[in-house]
Amino acid sequence: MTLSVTVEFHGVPAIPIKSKKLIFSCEQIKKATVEEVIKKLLIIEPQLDGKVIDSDKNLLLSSYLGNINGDKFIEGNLDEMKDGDSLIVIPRMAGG
Amino acid sequence: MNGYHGKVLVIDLGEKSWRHVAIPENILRSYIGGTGLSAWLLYQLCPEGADPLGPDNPLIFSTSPLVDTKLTTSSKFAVTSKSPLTGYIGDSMSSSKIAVSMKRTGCDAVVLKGQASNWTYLVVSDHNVDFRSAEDLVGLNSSDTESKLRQMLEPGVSVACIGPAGESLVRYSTISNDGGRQAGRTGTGAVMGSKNLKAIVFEGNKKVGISDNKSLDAIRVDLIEKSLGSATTKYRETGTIANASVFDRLGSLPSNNFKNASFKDLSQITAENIYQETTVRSVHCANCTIGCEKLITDPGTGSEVRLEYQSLFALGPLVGSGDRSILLESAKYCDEVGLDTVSAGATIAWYFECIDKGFLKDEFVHSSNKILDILRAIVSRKGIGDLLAEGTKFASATVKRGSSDFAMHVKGLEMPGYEPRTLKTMALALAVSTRGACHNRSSAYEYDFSSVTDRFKADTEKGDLVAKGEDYSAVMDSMIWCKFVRKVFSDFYVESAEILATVTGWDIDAEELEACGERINNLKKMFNMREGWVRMDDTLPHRVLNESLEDGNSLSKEELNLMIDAYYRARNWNKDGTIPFKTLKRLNIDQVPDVVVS
Ligand code: SF4
Repeated sequence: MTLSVTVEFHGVPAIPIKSKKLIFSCEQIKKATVEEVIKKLLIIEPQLDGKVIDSDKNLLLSSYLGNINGDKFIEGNLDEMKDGDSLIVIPRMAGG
Repeated sequence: MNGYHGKVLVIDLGEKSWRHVAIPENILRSYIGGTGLSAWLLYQLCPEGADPLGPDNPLIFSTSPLVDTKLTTSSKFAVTSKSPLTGYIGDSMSSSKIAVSMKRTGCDAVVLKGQASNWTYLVVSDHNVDFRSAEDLVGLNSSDTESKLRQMLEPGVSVACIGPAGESLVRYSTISNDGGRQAGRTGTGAVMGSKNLKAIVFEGNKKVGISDNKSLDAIRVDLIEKSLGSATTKYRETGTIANASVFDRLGSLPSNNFKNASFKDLSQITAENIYQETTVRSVHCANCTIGCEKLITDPGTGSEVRLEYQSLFALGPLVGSGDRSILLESAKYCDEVGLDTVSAGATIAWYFECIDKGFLKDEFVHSSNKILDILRAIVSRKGIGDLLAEGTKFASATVKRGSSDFAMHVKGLEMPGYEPRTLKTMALALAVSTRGACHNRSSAYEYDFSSVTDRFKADTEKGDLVAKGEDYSAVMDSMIWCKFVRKVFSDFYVESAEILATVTGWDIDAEELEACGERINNLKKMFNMREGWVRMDDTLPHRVLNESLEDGNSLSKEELNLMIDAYYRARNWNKDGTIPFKTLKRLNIDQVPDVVVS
């Protein structure tokens, strides 16, 4: 079983990487936590370390927010992601 | 008294007279400054039923105890009056050196009354108010007005002025200051224009005392460090224009006059592309370490354009345009002539829909290429511009034929760039805000863009969130902090109370400060009640309540009412939204108007 997950970057987090969307697969699992997705993401895009991701904690930096499929904002990295889900990374909102 | 002068400067433009009036310390402690103090002054000084564009409507500039402390983002001021768009309280904030210059003239607020017989500008110093003819300044845009005054007076003076839009009483005109910054919303520029007041120059040297300078120095350093951390990354890196692609992805970017909540032609005007394809420079308001303001070089004209999200939304997706050069040119034009970009964009979007429906003869065609021409017609009030200069509420009441169904305003103030059908906390806040469709006096979108609440659900928990957000915003706008610094505080009320105590010497704590926020919001509501507010004013445009978005998201009148009821309960108000006597008593609001139901 292969789990295919998309990570999207919008606004500030899209600037350090050239691509807005990264689609990648985690093999042999049905679902993954956000933490696992972040670990995998760091392997593919190591330059995100310190810019968007805190690699010590496998968390988004506190200046960013994660949302799954546009529906649900996540806290921490324990939320589960299923095959076909998108993790949307956006700047933390505080006005405008 | 520390932190304040304890005085308000009252200027009568009709009589060419001025005087200082002492302001009691308990009032300052109850309403702090900024929008709080000016709400109190407006309540005292604006006669019931005053014509917003008549001589009786006071125009109030207010500073705060933090102004001139050099704390980051604290160089701000508020402008308040009865709004010509809503007929209710209107206030607007801006930040620049002028806040410091104004305070150094020896007062905490300036109240402008009456109407000058000819175009006038004022030079306010710490010992005098000079009334001078502005006939040579009439017709000049804001930057030329500022430059000319600096040439005539001194290079460093601070200037607040109106452009041609304020002169021709466009109901959504702004007051420009210190190089193109705007007190943007609710039409304060039109009020200034109605007084035949083209500009005010402030120059003074009076400083207030600080209770504990040493502690304030330490706080200043600490705040600078925090303001450069992760809480402000977005503002430092791209400014608020980063919102466009985010809101688009989350189905919260209103486009095509709120028919849609995302925009297919967005690509040219996202922060991502603007940063890749143009030169962007960050600028800072006075005493700000964040620098959220972004000046984008327009490749077409070579000139720099100040662009923030609300202007991008209103002159882009809202009017159905994704053309970057049109956006930059029209944003620049609005700043120069002194037009509120949000109301201007919303009025054009309404006009385009009137053209499409055949309600108005097509003096202009519905095309992005015509946006700039329409803006020019609005400012000169030529042809259809005369109607559009009135804003969507008045224009749709003139055109009738059901055009108010797609006039996107609340109480007369046009809607900002947050889609209420997918941001339900924001929806409630827009409906109940005392200044009309306003995102800034509640910051309610912050709850929607978090795990605190389900943004798609119209439930009763939104009532409490909006009341809390409004009180918190009222304290920010009264102290005055820039909203963009708020995430650097780990406990906003505790830290802000400590700072206020350090400046003033008061033994104020978090609880007292929070009560100030509630008091200020209740006083604003009292002003509106005196001006005829009724419960049905707390609503959203017909389109929002009757049309679903493409993805099926909607908001019914019943759902909105459920949230409004919850909000009134959270505020300890009556079911009809009026304020019971016991709430006023608890908040020590001693003037109880007749309209209050007990
Ligand atoms: S964060 Fe932006 S708006 Fe706020 S004070 Fe600084 S430059 Fe001005």
